Amino acid sequence: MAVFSNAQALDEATALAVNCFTCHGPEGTSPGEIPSLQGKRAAYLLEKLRGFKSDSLPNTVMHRIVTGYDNSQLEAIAHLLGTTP
Amino acid sequence: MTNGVDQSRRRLLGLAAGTAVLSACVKSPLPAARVAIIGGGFAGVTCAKYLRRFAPTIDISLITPESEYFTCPFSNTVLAGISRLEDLRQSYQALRDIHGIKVVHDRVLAVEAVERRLRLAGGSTLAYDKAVVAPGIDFDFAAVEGLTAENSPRMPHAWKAGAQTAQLSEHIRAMKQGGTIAISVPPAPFRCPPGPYERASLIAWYLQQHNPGAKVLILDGNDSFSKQGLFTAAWQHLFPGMIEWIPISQDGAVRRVDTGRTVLYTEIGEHAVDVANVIPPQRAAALARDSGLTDASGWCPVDPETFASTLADDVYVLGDAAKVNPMPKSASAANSHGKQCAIAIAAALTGQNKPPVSLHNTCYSLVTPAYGISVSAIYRMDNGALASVAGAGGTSPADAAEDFRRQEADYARGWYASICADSFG
Repeated sequence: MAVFSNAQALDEATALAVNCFTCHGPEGTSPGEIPSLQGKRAAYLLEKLRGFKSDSLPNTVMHRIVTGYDNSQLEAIAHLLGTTP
Repeated sequence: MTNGVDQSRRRLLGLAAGTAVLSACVKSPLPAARVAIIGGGFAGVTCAKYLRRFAPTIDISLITPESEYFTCPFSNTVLAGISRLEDLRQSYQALRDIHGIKVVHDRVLAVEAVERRLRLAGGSTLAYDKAVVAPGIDFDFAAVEGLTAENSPRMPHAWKAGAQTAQLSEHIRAMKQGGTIAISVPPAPFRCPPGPYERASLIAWYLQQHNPGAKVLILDGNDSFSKQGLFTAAWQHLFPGMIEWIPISQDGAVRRVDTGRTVLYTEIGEHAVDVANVIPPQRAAALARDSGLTDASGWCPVDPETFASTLADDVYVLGDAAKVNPMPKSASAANSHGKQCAIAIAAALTGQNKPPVSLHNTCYSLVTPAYGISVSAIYRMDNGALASVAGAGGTSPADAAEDFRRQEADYARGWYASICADSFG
């Protein structure tokens, strides 16, 4: 996954994105009931994040989480975690 | 402190950059920077694992007396018979074998910050460039008259998962039909703020099936609690008349116990019960206190931007022992501390700029195996202090439908699988 293929990047995107792994599993690979992020395209992840933020996508906790980040932060997270097309 | 950082940086760069440029002119490369992490819970292991990712060449040791770890998250499901104690077991194998962490099974007696070394119970010392202190909590048994570390198993706290989880589970199963289980909640702050109320819920769920007519009595050292509206609404709906909550303002705080007769005394009242779960007041573990890392509150003040202790140089404090207001003391918070501290240490050792700290907490509670509720918050620095981002976070909606609660129960199990893999895997 992108975040650790350039492991030493101590940038804001990394500091933000590692938060996702608490619930979505290491490197976004979920071992249980929470959806995995691995292998998803950046554009798909961003569409989801924006949908959660506007509460236009059904969700339980993601709206509450995503509203804690501004749009450029969500873009940085999606870009870092997602695959490019 | 500056000398220490410079020396650490030289050590790291000596090994990391040495191959290309320095190897031609330096005969023996400087040793790698040494980071000693104390504590094998969520904060310590997460920090170790992520530090390896961000600083691949440094020397990382994790010191914990235990050879395995039982998670506090999901330990309430053991009391309800949903899982076994065995299911909570985590090992340090991945840390050692996959992530190249030196796992040392010893007890740290003190962090000697001036000398930058640890004193170990085994008699040796361990020199470090940066120390991460994540020893968790200690119980202040003496704060409850009549309670001691020795007699505590008669009224098991079960607030560190392990032997006492099994003891409390046995007490619950052996209770007479129609009996009463009391849960004594200490004054805040304590580990896992919603934990006592999740515990009351899951015990009630168990009793409903195996001991109808039995009751749960919560004697509380506080006047409000985490996810209170959600818990109390669920209790009325699912367990009518089974759970009674007495807050401190209604004489709910337990001041004295008689472990022989299983009686709990409050300021003016007394409660003779059949099973007592007394969760004592808490403070940072003795190691933190003995090393001068605590303030008058009994917890460790840190700079939330880096988790650096404000009381000692080159020492960082994470997890439940640290005072990281307004974050709760939770495994989720500890996991988040571990990652952000790893970034801060890696940046300090390699001379890179550190990105702004970004912390989060997401905690699930099970009311029943099919009824979950959550609380979440995002934290960042605001005018020099850590603050939860306004408008974000909060609890599950009060008016959610049954399938929403069921999905959050599924996510609670998923959260547990993920955080264990993220921290220990």
